[in-house]
Amino acid sequence: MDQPVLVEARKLSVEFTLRKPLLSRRPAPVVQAVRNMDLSIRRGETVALVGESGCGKSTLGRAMIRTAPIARGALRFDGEDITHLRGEALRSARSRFQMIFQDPYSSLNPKARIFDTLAEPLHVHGKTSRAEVRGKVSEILDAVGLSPDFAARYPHEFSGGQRQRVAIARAVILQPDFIVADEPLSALDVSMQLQILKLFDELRDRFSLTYLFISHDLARVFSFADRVAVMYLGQLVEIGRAADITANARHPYTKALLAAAPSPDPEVEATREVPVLKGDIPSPAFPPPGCRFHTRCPIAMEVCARVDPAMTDFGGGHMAACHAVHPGGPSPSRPDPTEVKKDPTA
Amino acid sequence: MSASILDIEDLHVTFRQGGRSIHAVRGVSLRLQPGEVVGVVGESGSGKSVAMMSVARLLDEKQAGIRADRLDLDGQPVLGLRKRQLEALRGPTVSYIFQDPLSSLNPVLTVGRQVTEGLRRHRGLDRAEARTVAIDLLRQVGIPSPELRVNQHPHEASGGMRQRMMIAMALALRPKLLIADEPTTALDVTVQADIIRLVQGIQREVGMAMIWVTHDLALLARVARRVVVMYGGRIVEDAPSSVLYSAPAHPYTRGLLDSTSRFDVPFRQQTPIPGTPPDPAQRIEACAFAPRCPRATDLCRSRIPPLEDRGQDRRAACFHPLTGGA
Repeated sequence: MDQPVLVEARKLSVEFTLRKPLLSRRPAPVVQAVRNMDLSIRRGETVALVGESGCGKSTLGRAMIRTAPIARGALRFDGEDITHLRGEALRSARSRFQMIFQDPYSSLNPKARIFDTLAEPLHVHGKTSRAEVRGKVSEILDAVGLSPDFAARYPHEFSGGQRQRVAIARAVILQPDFIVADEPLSALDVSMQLQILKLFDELRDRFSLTYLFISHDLARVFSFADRVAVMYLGQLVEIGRAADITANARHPYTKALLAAAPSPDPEVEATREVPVLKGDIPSPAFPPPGCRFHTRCPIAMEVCARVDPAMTDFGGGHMAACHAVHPGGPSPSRPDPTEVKKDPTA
Repeated sequence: MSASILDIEDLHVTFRQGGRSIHAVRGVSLRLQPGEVVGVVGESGSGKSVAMMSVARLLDEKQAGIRADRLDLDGQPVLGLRKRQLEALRGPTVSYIFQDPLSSLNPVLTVGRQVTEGLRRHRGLDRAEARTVAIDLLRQVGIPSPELRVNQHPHEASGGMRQRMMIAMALALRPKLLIADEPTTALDVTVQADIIRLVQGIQREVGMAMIWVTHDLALLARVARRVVVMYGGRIVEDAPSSVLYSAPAHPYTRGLLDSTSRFDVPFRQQTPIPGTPPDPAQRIEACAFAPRCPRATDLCRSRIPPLEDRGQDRRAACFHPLTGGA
């Protein structure tokens, strides 16, 4: 009954080396933007990846389509290890995954007509007959709810919502299997956000797409997603079915995210205690030791400052990394990716 | 009836831009009592920010033409004032918090200096006194080690800390009216909740009137007692929160509520508003929402609906309201 796994990250880490301070003898600092990430997405599934700035959600999204460098771990796509794929093999694999960004204006060429923007991926990936390209472009414009005469226009002639439709058309025109959408709604007005999300929903069915949907707005995406993954400072802190996450969140950070989002109901808001997290999010370059969330956690214990908790499995795919919710005392330590050998299959 | 802290009647703001004229605010009337907390909600191009910036005449008047039958702040007509008189109002009478603290803070001046600039100017404090007050203000807005922060520059602080600095600056003179324009939009949700609580706490303590300008109806459910909905440069509905959320009168308010992120409605049951918002450069002699409205008739497409009283302290501009009228 379950669909096969389409994309799978295993102990995936992405690191960025910061510039070495002038005259410093110490090695340049390394930021672990994504640390030891396990995430598999089944064909046809939508996973919402949520978290706040600096949590590594965009970096993970890019790593999962091989546009961010993978430092450690492995990435499999449709049964094939693509961690180290290069050159022509990587290029051809890339036609099967696409990315959609927050700001459609900066991701569309302002000097190109919509037709050329949409036709370009077709040319790159070998569809060259004029008639075929023309047909495909009007078909895709129709699929994203734009009239075919939009093909002759330029991006600046469109509203934000229409531009995002064009960006989506461009992403789906090659009929990819997997789409990483990185905050595709956050630059849009509220009334446009739901319209565009409905479009993602329609296309999901029509083209059998699999989504990794990155967002800071848990309330917006949770009902649209099958599963939700919550990240904090480069690590997964909780993952599970969307309904389980909202009804029965385990991690105090997930609970804070859920509570922080206001509900459009003054009666609910009047009676609700919003737990406030202390301070700001620490810099990902200098994450706190132990559990990375302990500096802001309302229920932090002594062990939290020392031991980074491993994921506890609550069944049904619901997992969370927190000492306080681990049955029978503190959780064992999360493995350190720098001590894990490179995947032997690589 | 001149006890209002803010009294706006038929406000129009027009921008001239390369031969085109953009009618951003098209007749807004709004009155606020001292201590009242109101939310102004609308999408981009609704005119909400422009209308609110007109209150202290913050717009560049080389480009913006402002006219109104009345624009009174604490009983004083704002439109006839000279620059010096306006500056005397900004700070003690009205203050603003904006979305992006970096563009409102001066990068080359220390935090302390900026926070107390108003105090030194309006109250004549000297350097040492101002420093003491600045430290106190920074502490009040929840900035850790304020005695160190006071000597730092804005770029040395995180986004949340900068927003706190701007709040300290806006509140230094205990304004009678605080206008917060998307003050938390650029912040992470958990930081946002903290900042909202901070501003709410100070508002209650000082008892100042306050306007929250935002695109987010959910946020206003948390903070505002009364909500003003703007669309196409006009107010389309103005009602107490207790009736607006449970029974909106204007179909746009309904649509906006239905479009708002929420946990309690399954995705397939969420209905978006079709179409796109109106172009502010276009003249519309009709209801601006008619092209997107499920209830629109020929009447809506040929006349502008007036903003009328609908009982329960509600005003709505609709020929076919959902509640409270014909």
